[in-house]
Amino acid sequence: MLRSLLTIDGLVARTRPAWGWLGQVALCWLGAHLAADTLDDLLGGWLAGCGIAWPEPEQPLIAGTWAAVVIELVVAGWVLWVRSRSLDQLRTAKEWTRRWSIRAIVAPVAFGVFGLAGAWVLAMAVEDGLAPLWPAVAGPAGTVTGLVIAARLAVPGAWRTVVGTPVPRRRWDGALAAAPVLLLTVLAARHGLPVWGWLP
Amino acid sequence: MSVIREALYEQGSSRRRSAPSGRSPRWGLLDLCLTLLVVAAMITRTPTGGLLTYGWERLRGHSADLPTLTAWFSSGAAAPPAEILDALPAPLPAVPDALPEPWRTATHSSLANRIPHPLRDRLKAEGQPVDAEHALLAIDELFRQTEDPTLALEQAALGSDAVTRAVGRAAAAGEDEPQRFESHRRFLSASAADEADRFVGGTVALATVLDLAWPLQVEHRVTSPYGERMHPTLKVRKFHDGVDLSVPIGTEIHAAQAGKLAVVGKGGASGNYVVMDHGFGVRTSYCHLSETPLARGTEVERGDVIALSGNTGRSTGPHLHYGVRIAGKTVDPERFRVTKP
Repeated sequence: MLRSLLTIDGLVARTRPAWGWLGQVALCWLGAHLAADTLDDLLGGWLAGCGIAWPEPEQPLIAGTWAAVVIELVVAGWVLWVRSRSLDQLRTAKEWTRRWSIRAIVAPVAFGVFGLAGAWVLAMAVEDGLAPLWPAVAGPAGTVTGLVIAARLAVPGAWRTVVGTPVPRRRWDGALAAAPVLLLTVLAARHGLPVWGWLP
Repeated sequence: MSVIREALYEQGSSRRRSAPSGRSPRWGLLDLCLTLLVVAAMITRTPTGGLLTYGWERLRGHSADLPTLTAWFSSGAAAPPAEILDALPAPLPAVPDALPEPWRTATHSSLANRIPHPLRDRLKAEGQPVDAEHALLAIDELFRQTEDPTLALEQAALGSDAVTRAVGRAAAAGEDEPQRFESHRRFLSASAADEADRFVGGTVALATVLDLAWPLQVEHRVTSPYGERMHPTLKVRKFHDGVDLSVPIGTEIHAAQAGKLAVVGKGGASGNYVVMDHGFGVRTSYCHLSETPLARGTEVERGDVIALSGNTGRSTGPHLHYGVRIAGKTVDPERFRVTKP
């Protein structure tokens, strides 16, 4: 029984390159949304104060929410594009330094933060799902799920964008997308990681 | 550590499919399960997932509505059901140590419409009748323990455990005032957040509008009521989403309720204008002003002077345009005037 299970496990593992990226990308999308969810109010306030003559008083707030949606979708597309291009297998740090670009620097940071925020979203979901059935188990189960997802999907996703760095056409490749990506990365780090409450 | 190390080397590499140790790849079933879990969560919890679902349905030839992408953004705003707004509840008599007014009236009105499941279960467990009166007494009891009307409503709607978990998560994320609903709403489960928006958001919004002060404290007349009308300058039939109150330029405009100045703007048809956010989707707007001395983000109390009336923008004479919105929907401000001194 165990031998059969291990065989199936091995067979499934061999197909991982075909679907492993999907979990990493979806995890980043979850984390990016957690960050974008805090962005609409910020953008609404900024649009209201930036001197545009809005036809209706409520419009900057509505525009702020839609702007947050657009930024989230742009970042989601960028995450998918970056992951689809990270297919190489660099072996030394020197190889990476020959390939560095803005994208190569931004991508691991964004994937790491989005992935960890996404792992926390799943940890919370598991805890909430189990709480009505096994209240005593729900908290630890959520924490373990979050840690396992971080270890198996979030960290490897960020690492893949390092070892899979493609040869850039220019050093400033990725500069255009860096602003919205870093904006959501900072918000995900600030509002999507359960660490700030523990810091002095 | 070997689990992490293998994941780092194995996942997604098109050129190298075995761990550095030379062993066959492992943990395939675990990773597949995690991937399915993450993808399922992504589809249900993000606008990107909503768009992908829509695209998939269209590819399969099924008819599907384009999702409202802003619906995935948390607001805590939900308008009370239309039947409650159409027939505003009569104020209940005040009860010592119970929910204060107008919270109690708003809560009773919401409970008459629908009693949340955790509260229903609690009443059943205590052997009490499941009706609005007993549910209100149970919320009064929660209020005595929490001394916070919003928190009492939230505990009634979701149960204490769910609220405690969300508050703990908000505290872990370093949110300011994690006890506040607006701070910890993002950390509720999706279903709990929906329930909270409907019951807590709807009830608090109703309590807020029932307690709206009138923005003018001088004699004035209503020159154009809420609703369909012939526009005085455009000369076309147009919906008027507020009331026009005729007052001399320079008349003090008072905040209808405590809250924050969400927008302080100028230009366009509204002239100089202020939008106040009172929380839970209730906003009031004041247009055609001559002066707006307070900055965006300023917190004010109910009745504070926030601006001076004027004749700016698309206007045929000095007046204040006053509007009220609940969860983005306009309502007739005059309907809430009757409850005010």
